Amino acid sequence: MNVITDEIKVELKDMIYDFFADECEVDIKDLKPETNIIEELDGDSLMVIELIENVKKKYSLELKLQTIGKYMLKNSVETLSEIVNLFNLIYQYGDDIINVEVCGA
Amino acid sequence: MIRSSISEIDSQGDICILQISNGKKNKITVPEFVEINELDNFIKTHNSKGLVITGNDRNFSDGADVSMIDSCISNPEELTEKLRKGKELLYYIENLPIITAAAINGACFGAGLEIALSCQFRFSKSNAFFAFPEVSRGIIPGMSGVERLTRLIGKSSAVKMALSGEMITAQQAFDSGLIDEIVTDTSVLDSCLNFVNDLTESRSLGQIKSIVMTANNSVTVNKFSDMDYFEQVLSDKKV
Repeated sequence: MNVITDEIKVELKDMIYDFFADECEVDIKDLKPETNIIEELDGDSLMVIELIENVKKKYSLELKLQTIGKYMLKNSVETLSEIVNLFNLIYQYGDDIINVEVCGA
Repeated sequence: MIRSSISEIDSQGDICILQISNGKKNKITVPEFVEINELDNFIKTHNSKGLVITGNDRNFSDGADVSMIDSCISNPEELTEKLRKGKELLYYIENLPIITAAAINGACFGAGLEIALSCQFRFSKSNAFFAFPEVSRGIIPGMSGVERLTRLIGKSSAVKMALSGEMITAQQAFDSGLIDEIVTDTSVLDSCLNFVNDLTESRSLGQIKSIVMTANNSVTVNKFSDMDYFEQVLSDKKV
């Protein structure tokens, strides 16, 4: 398990917000934690997967696509806060994320 | 530019461009995603030396429209007939005596992957993902996708990919031989067009046809070999 620092959390959040602002062509100032990427930004789950690949490369993380598929079947990953939470868990747990109980999910 | 089925046919110089254009996800709502006669007519009229297939917007194609399949479960003959036309189209593309290439962005799943596999070359943006998700819906790829995949990446890898339904990245697709190039700095369509142009611009149409036909004749799928298997799987699903 990786230890996640506050600095890494900020980096991850910035990556996520920058990505969706760019891909969905919206002003980053309009993005909020409760923003739903599918209903409000016309995004899709493939964008989340693409972002995961970017994060994997940046931090040299080990994570199989199938693991994410299984996680996303069990947990909602539609709002920006849910996505940020997912990425924090990915950083900490990698493939073990599937065994993590997500509080409030 | 001609609109045909769920696609648009256009040209840039000697290269015909076939763009799947059906919403953001480019769902293949009809297996015959372009009318064969219209495409054939366009290529012949324009003396096209190459054909590049691409998707509009962010995705090549998210695959078949599941609601179309579900609605045909009670009438498998209708689905089989639709697939037969789709297979005819992909067989036609595979055997075109010109250069064919797929320029892939985003999702390349199911029927979308089958379309890409019917081309000689596949260029992919680094953000592309590839999968045959049919098995998770209780069916199998129905347009010779597994045959073409096997030819490209070998039997064991093709069986694993088709049976697991797993999604692979552009890098994994490149490493396995499924795609020919990953494009990072430019648009994948521009990159693909430049490649086809470089191959063909100094060559006569006769030269291109001779070489491509010879290559095509050495490797060709059995047009309808998996129809029996698909019907059986569909029949099992209905039960």
